[in-house]
Amino acid sequence: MDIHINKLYFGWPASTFSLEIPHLKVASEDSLAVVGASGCGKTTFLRLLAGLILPDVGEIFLNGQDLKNLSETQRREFRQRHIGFIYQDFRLMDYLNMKDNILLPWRLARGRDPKDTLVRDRLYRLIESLGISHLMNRTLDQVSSGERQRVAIARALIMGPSLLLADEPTGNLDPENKLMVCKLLQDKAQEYGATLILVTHDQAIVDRFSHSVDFGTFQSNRTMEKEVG
Amino acid sequence: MNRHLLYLAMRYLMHHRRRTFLLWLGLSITCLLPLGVHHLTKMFEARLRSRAEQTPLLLGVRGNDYDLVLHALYFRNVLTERLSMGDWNQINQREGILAIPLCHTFRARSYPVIGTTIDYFDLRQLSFASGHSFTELGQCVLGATLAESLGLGVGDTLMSDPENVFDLAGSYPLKCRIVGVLAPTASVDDSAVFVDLKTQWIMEGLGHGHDAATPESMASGEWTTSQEGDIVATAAVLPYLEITQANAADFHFHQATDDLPISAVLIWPSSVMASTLLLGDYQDPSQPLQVIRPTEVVDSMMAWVLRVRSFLDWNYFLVALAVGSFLLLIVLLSLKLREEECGILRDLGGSRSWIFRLMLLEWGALLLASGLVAFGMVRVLGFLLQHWLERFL
Repeated sequence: MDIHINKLYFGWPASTFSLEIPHLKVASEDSLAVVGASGCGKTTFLRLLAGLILPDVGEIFLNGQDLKNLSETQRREFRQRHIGFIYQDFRLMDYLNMKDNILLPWRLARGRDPKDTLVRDRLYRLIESLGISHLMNRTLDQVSSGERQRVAIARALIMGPSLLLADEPTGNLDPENKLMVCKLLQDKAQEYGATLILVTHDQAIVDRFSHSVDFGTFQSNRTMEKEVG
Repeated sequence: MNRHLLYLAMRYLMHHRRRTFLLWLGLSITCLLPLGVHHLTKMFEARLRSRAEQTPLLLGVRGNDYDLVLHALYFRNVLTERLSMGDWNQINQREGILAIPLCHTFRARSYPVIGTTIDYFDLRQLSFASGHSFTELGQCVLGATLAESLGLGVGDTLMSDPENVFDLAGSYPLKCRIVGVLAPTASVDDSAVFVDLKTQWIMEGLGHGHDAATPESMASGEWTTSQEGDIVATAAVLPYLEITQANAADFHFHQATDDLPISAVLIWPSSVMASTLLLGDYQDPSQPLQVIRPTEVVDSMMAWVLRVRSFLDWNYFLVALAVGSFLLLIVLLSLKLREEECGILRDLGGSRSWIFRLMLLEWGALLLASGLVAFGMVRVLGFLLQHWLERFL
């Protein structure tokens, strides 16, 4: 998915925090690591990209579509079909087993699109390739952190997204798992032809990406000009 | 309904079993109390009314209508003021009137003993599960529940309870032979002992049987001669405690039959006119006797019961309001607790209405389950309490 941000400004109400991105372009199927100190707006950036919040000023084009021009329902449907989310704390539902957690985005999309068989095929391919087939009937307290993150990755990929947004996905993992999950994400993004935007603090992770932006630096300079890909 | 929504709601409820159970229990009890009281009152009313409808009119000593109805229809209490067989005769001789005398003073093994005539069985449409109606003095017929709970049947005997264990000069208990057991009717008749009126009077001591005065018994002092020259029995002459073929002829009454007491008369008029005329004749408040319509008394009793129920309904309404407030608080707290979960669902593409419907479905399922269980419990309670109501009414 092509991402094009133009003269973006966003500020949280009742807060001094603001995010300004004059220009940022990420080409389809490319990947970008986003680094920066806490509170510099990395997560806000991901939420803007997902259309969960809208910029006060400026445009965000995803595949040429300005998110501002979409209604809330259209943005939600766009998110369901095209965007996969991965979080640092996994955010899996404790009342669902791992299989149901992976299928949650499909259920939220009312199970109409894509069709059952397609999702089933994708599910089995995903859990096979991520090595989590044996976890499907287990609950959250029966799996390790590394396994939880792999389940979260499967959940993000189940709808076949073209944009993967990962918010510090390796933050809660041990060094060995960190690199493994990072590689897994990159491999899967490549396999699904998805653009990967990954927020991290970890230099070792950043080193594995060909492109990165430091939000801290850009924010302090109040400018952000970057073209990736 | 969206099957995915239903699936997720069920998964949530199943996962939080303890929480779900507690909520379900609370809601079930909240529903059960008013539903149960309503159902029981309805059952109570139906039973009370059906018995009253079977008996168009009642004759008794003027006084408390409720006491008379409870006594004559439900065998609940013993009346101190009684009428006589003469009163019954007067009514029974009227055209278009069928009257059944009833006398209930004693109990046997705590069950009411009802003295009546054999017509009672026909008019109440009571049939015999075994044996037959009483035909001789000292015989009795048992209701189905009573026979079952005491383990008695045809051929056994049943002793009436002593009137007063401290009064040695009072009436003596009488051993009755059981000659019939009634088929169950789900009414108060199932828990009563029926005897002939004469047997009832013998229990009361109004009639008795004893050894005749002989020169030997006169000599032994069991009998004496009064100043008027009459032969009088002393306390040493004991009455028979059982009526047998051998001693039946020795039983006698010292009063004319018309003077012997009864406690009420059940009346079946053959027409509205016969009924109206009878009611008119006993309308005068200065008369010692009264004729009443049991249905009117039952309606007035039920109006009182319903007033109590309406008070209870208000009480339950307030309780339900309090429970509703607590539930609202729980819902709000639960929403607060599930804020993060809602956030994830929104991030993954769930709409606010979808999330709202999910939670609504969870609560709806809980409410439905509670309602169904409460409804089922009311039915089960009704079934279990039916037996108790049968004994009571």
